[in-house]
Parts: sequence; C-alpha cells; structure tokens
Amino acid sequence: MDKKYKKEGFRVPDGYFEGLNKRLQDRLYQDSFDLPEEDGFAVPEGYLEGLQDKLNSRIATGEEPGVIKLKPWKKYYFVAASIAAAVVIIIGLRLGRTDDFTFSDLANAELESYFYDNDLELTSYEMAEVLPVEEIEVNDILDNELNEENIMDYLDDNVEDLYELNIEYDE
Amino acid sequence: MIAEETLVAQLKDRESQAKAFEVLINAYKERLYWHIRRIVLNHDDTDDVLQNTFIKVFRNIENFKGDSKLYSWMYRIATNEALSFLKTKSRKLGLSSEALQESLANQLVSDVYFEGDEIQLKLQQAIATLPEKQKLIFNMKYFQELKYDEISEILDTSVGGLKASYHLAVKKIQSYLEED
Repeated sequence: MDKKYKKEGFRVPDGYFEGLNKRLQDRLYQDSFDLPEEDGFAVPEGYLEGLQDKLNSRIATGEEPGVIKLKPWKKYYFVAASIAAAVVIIIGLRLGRTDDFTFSDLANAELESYFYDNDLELTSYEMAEVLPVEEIEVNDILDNELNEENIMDYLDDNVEDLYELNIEYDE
Repeated sequence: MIAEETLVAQLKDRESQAKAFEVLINAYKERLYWHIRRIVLNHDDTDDVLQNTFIKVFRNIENFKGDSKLYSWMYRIATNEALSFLKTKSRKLGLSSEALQESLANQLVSDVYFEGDEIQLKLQQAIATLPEKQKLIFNMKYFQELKYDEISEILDTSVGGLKASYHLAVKKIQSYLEED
C-alpha cells in the first residue's frame, strides 16, 4: 500500500484493489439489481416432446414455411380481378347503370381489400421484384401528382448547387 | 453430444438427414423455444415461429457454409423469424410495433401459460418498452445467460456495443420499475 495513505492511518482489506476492477465490471454489466431470475413463462405439458412429430409431418407434406412464391401471387390478382368483374357484370345487369362507381373503382377496391385482408408476407424488396417497374411512373404511386415545377422547386430548396445536377432543359 | 461438423455433414446427406434432424431438434428445441418465446411472448405464436425456424434450417442446411457456429446460425434464423412474425402481426392489427409490444406484455395477465407474479409481469412490461435490439440483448444475457461472445456472433454486433446496450437496457428497466 502507498506510504502516504498509510501515514494517515487508513487501511484497506487485503487484495481490495486487485478485485476492484472485476467488482465494478460486475456492477456495471452483470445482474446487480434486484429482479426475478425467472421470467414466469410456462409451456403446455408435453409440448416439447410432441414437437418432433409435428415437424416430421410438416416436412413429409413438403410444406415450406415463409417461402414466398412469387408466381402464384399473380394467380390471386387474376382471381380477385375476375371476382370483381363478375360482381360488376351481375350488378350492372340487375340494376342498370349507376353513377356511384365504375368498373375500375370497384376492381381497385376489391383488389385493395384483398391485399389488405390477406397477408402476402412480401417485403418491399420482394414487391419490387414482382412489380413491372419499367411500366410504372412515379405519379402512379403518389396521391398528388408530381409535376416538373414541383420537382424543380424541391431541388432548388434542397440542393446547394443546381448546376451540378447537369439538368437538361427542353427549350 | 455429436460434434457439430459431423451433425452438419449428416444433415446434408440424404441418407442420414432424417435421423440427424431428430438429433438437431432434440439438442436445440428448448433453447430456441425460450429464445423465441421471450420475443413473441405467447406460446401459440412461439410454436408457429419455432416450427418455421426448424423447417427453414432443414431446407437451407445446404447453404450453411460453417462460417459461424451452427447454433449461432440457428439463433439468427429464429431471431429473424420471430421479428418478422411480429412485424406481420403489427401490420395485420394496424398497430405500431411499440403499441404491439405493449399490448402483448399487457395480455400476459390473462395468459394461461404465464405464471409470473406481479414483479415478473412488471419486468416483462418494462422489457416491452425497450428498443428491439436492447430487448434481444437483455433477454439473451439476463435470462438465457449467453456469453457476450455468443451474442456477438448471433447479432453480428461488437462485444463493446453489446455491453453498452445491455447496460442501457438495465438502466431503463430499473427506472421503469422505480417510476411505477
């Protein structure tokens, strides 16, 4: 122990400083607070024992979890569109023409509700893979139409030097 | 217990894979169950996610190159499955992920498979308020008692970062419980 502290008459237990680092680490990172060690969750009796059989039967039937089949996705699109078309024709024949909705409104509504109610489990990347991006314009997915003037205003406000973008003007 | 390399080789071999898969399930079912359960909280959802995890492992074992340990790879699959399950659930219910977490923790009161007392329930409610990564780290360290090295390999995060996150998580839980 350092002499200058000894002079003052203070003492520390043997090995105190040697173990200090570890004790501090423990207090910082280990479970040094008063919380229950168990989390309270329970499992139904026999669940884990029966898991093997459940998995074997799923594998035997060739069921694939969470595997996203891109092609069959289109099948639903056509089914939904066919249903929507059939509904419109039937309503049209029975009730005559109505100004409240059009075929395209109903088809979209049907499709939207189908996609909303049925979780296709597609991430945005997977969506991007199946959507024909070449045929989509920015304005197809925006509620408010984006015109050139808006774009230029946005760039003007947010880009330091517009000329660096090398924009070609049609004049 | 059978060596990991041998088990992986057997899983990749059509002749031996059924038997090896059985060994794999028996070796990991309990650990993975509890890992998933602490993320999704209720038993039925855990069962779905656990089965999907094992089936994904079985279907994708060919792609396992051995760059990490088998258990880390399986934990990663289980973690991703559980987190995407929660994302899908929150989307279906029209809830934000924070609101879903809160609601799941509150539902534990009436869950027949939750036998915790008041403090254990409060602890789960406190954990539900943590950001996703802190929650994972806290559960893996505190309840599953995994080593930082193991968590680091599973979550692909540095040990230093994990220690800091765990420390932060503990502080937040403490202050949540003190507030209450």
